[in-house]
Amino acid sequence: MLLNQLKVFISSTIGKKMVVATTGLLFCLFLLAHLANNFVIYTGAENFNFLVKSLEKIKPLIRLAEVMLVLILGGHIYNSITLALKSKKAKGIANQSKIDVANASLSSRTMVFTGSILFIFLTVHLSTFWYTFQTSGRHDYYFMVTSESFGFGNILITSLYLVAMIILGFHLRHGFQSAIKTLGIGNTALGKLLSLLSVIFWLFVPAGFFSIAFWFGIVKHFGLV
Amino acid sequence: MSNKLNLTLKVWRQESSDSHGDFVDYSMEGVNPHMSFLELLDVLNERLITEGMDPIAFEHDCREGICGSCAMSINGEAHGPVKSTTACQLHMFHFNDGDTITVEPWRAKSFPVIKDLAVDRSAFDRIIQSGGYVSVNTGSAPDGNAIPIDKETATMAFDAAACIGCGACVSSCKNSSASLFVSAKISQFSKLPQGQPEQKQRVLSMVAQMDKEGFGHCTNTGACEATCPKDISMDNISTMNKEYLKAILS
Ligand code: HEM
Ligand code: FES
Repeated sequence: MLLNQLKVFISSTIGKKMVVATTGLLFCLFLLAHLANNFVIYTGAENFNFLVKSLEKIKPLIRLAEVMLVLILGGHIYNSITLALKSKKAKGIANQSKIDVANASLSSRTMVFTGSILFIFLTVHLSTFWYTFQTSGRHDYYFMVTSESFGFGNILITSLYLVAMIILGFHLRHGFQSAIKTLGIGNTALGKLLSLLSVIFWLFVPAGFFSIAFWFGIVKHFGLV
Repeated sequence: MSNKLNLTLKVWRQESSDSHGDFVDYSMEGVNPHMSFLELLDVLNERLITEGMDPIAFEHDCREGICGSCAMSINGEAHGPVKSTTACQLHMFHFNDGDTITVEPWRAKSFPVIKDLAVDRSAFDRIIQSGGYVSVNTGSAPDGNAIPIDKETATMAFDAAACIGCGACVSSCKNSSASLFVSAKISQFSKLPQGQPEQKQRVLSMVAQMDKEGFGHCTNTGACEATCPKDISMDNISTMNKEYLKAILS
């Protein structure tokens, strides 16, 4: 019975959108933890290398988290793209005359675009940092992060990170508070509180990641201090 | 002492649902600024008929902003540029002499064009038929104070019930989502005791019908709320989602 109901749920637009919202919010929590880890890099190579190395000790846990993250992101992308395609078909012919006022924010109208950029970023990020951290067999993580081949010693990589973090901010500027509404708690006290807290996720978290790329890739790389 | 307006009207002309449509220009001179937008179309149609041409098909009924028939986009916005106003209540003094005004039908796959500006909105009727009513016997009119309802709840229910089902939300939405309409219809019952007995089935059926009709999903962009002539709030969409989740889990 419940299984049947869940099947109805997951094939409905509201159900799919709730999956997009839940997975999006869960990913936001992961980013918070990820950023807390990354900030250690400001305290120097030794601390950073030590931190990443100690993560090795809880490898099974990390692997489990990775599998969950893949599922979360997979659910997010699959459902958001399915919905976007359905809604594109629902429009048919678009409005032919241009409106001279924007009735909806730019960030809300560009979720598919910003999401796609994030996907490209994630592909690059995982195939460089994540992959090399796993396979290099060395523990000089700080060196890898700042390396010229794929780290912030490479201005192209730095630029990609800087742009991607602005895009992430954009995605979450609309996404975070939208998810609160999607989950049906938009009108509650909790929902209003979470909407207030959304600035942490759309501004502070992306700005935190941005600062690291900026510090190592621009300030230190070009010897500005 | 108002000055007459000279305007150019660009109107979408389309013979039938499967024919190709396009804009046709009509220049109109000496337009009385106190006319409503529909009266402007009346004047134009009289001229077209006199000239032996095909008049512009558009839907209208009450002409006082309560029936939701006058579905059309004016300069790209549902019901035109004035907030909380239907096309029939939109007066020409909101426009300037020399303006070019574009008029087109609602844009959504689920609202196929019948002819020119008139679209088939029966998808909305089918959504209502699927559960947008109360069929429990509520007896003859009870004493007004017999069922106490707090003011705030009553106001929210009334505000949701103000939806006239015109379809502006669907046309304004980049996803052609019917969420604002369906959620208003669900909210108006879910807030009141009379709506409770059939709540679960109502939500499940109406959402299923909405999806079946091919409307898109809600991205919470807010374009619907901004152009709704009855100021239906997007809070209703959050309410609908909550009620839907409750119905699925119960
Ligand atoms: C990696 C590629 C990604 C893609 C392709 C993507 C795509 C999308 C799309 C298309 C939407 C809009 C759904 C709609 O139309 O309402 C969306 C919503 C959202 N995304 Fe993403 N996204 C991605 C990554 C992320 C990441 C990394 C996060 C969080 C850190 C995130 C958080 C959210 C949230 C919170 C929403 C709002 C859900 C709602 O409105 O209810 N997304 N995503
Ligand atoms: S004609 Fe009835 S609302 Fe405009």
